[in-house]
Amino acid sequence: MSIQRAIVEHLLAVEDVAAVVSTRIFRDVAIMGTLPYCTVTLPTAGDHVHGQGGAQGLVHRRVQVDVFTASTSDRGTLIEEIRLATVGFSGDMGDEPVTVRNIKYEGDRQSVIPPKSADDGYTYRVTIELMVWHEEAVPV
Amino acid sequence: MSVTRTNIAANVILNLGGTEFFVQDFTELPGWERESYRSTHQNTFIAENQTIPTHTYVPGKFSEPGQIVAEVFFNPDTVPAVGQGDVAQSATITFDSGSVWTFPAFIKSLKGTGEFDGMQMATLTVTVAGEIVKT
Repeated sequence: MSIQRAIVEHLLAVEDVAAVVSTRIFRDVAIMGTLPYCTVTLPTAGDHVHGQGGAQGLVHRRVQVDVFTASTSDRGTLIEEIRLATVGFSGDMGDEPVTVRNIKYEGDRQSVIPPKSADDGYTYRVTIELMVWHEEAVPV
Repeated sequence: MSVTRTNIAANVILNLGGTEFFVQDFTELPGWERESYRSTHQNTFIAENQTIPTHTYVPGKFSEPGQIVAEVFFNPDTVPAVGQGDVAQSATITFDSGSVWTFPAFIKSLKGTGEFDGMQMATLTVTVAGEIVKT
C-alpha cells in the first residue's frame, strides 16, 4: 500500500474527521464535489534513503492534505483534528499497513475561493503539509 | 567483452571483524603514503652531460596505510564487534568491481549524531593497522 492511501484510510478512521467529511477524503482528485472534502497528494519526490549497501527501506516524504469546506468553523475543526491525528504518529497505518516512524506537521496555508456563480458560496481551503518518515520494502 | 574503466562508489561494503556496517558514504578510504628522501645534496657530483642539475629521490620503506572515515547509519542496539579488545581484527572492503582489500583494523572512534527530522547517523573512524592485501 502507498503512504498516500494509508493516510487517507487513517484520516477516515478518525471519528471527528469523519463526522465532518463523511467518506470524502480522496487521493489526488476529488471525485465528488460536495463540500466539505479533503484530498491527499504527494507533491514532491520522496527522499528514499540509500547507502553503500543499497536501499535502506526508509522514505522521507512530504504529504499534502487539502481541505475544502463551506464554513470557516468546519475548516478549523478539520485542521485541528488532522493535526492531532498525525503529529508524532508512530506505528502501522492503513488496512494493508504502512509502517510509519514519525510525522511532523510542517504547517498550513489558508485561502478562500470566491463563488463561481450567484448560487455558490465561498469555499474555504487549507493546505496542510506533513513530513512523513515511513518504511518501504527493500528490493531483493 | 566490455572493459570496466571506472568503478562507482555505490556497493562498497565495509566488514569489520565479521560485522558489516551500514555505510552511507565513505569520506576516506585506506591507501598508501610514504616518505620520499632526497638523495642529492650541495656537494653531489654533477655529471658533465647534465645540463640542468636535478635532485634525485629514493622512496621510504614504510607506508602509512591511512584510515577509513565513513558516515554510517547509527544503530544504538548494536555494539560494533571491533569496538572492544586490544588487538586489531580482520577487516575487508569489497569494491563494486568485486575486488576485496583485506587488512587488520580497529575502530578508533564512533560518534553518533541526532539531527532533528533526520536520521541517526554516526561518523566511524577506523585505523588500518597493517598491510593491505588485495584478493
